[in-house]
Amino acid sequence: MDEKKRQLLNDFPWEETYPKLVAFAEWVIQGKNWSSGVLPKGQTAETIVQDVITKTLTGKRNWDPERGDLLDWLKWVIKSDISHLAESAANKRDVRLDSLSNDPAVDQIEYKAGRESRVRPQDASPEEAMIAVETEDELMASARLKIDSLLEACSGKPELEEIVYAISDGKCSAKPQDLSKYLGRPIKNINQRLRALRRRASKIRIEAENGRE
Amino acid sequence: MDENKSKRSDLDIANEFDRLFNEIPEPETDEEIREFLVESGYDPEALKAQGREFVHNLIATNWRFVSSNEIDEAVTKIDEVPTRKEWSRSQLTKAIQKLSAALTIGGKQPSLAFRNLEELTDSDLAVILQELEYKARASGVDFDLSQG
Repeated sequence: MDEKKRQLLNDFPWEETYPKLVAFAEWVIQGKNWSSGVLPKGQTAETIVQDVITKTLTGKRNWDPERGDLLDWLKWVIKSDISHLAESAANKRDVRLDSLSNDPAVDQIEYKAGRESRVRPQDASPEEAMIAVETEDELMASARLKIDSLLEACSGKPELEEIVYAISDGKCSAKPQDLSKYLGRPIKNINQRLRALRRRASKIRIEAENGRE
Repeated sequence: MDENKSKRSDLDIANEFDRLFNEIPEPETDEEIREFLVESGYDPEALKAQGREFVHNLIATNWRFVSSNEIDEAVTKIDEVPTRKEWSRSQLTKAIQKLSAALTIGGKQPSLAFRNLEELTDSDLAVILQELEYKARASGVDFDLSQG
């Protein structure tokens, strides 16, 4: 490790940055699907952040000061590590079909694929047809659970209720900017509410999934 | 009501919320981060202290963070310890084992604990012994190599 890099790492404001990194890791974690609602291998936002800092300070992950800011680099590695963890066999083993992807576009593709295989029964074996129907049923059950979780998460919280009903009733498109205009609230306030709604709904959904196992 | 249409609607709504949640920016300002941490069950002040201690310990125990001046000084001090070039291989090996044991008892585990001394040259052994003698002196560990 050269002197300049060592100095930069030594002088980095770790005390102020550490909570920011934990918040970022927690943010990324909350946006992913985890079997049983927890990260595999006993990991937490903090253990991931500590691991990334350790790898950076020991040179196991090579940060190049010429190529970018250290905070951005650390966030990038944290995001990458969490993504790998989410895709790991340890996490996938118990994750339901409906939650394999966090990308709704992928959900749609899987959903369409399921429907296509169903409308051409002559091409599908009885087992494949059965799996396609089960997959579609699981997707529907997952969608209902998501909506129920959102309704429960916003119940008694007018600031969250107006968001949920604006979208579920089709009064406003599902974009933070559009919600900001529709509800006449600053975008920062809308984002803050959406974070709370996402966290609450996710917690409720995980508890419900664990409860029905 | 068409049951299939109803099912699609649920799926559409759920997907719209998924897309919406993917569009929320991460908490960025100090205020947003603090609020997000508290809502997620963290104590921001405790995290600051943990982060400071964690990184401090990491840097303090990592040789990569020893400055080149400190390394130069250590090399000079090691070189002040005479190398036992005149000693036989057997004497060198016994002395290394003796010093390793003394350092281990003194809580200063030598890094060569798992090295196979038989595979090393006499010259390597002499250098290892020199470094161990330096380490023992610097750590205040008592030793006597008069018996070789």
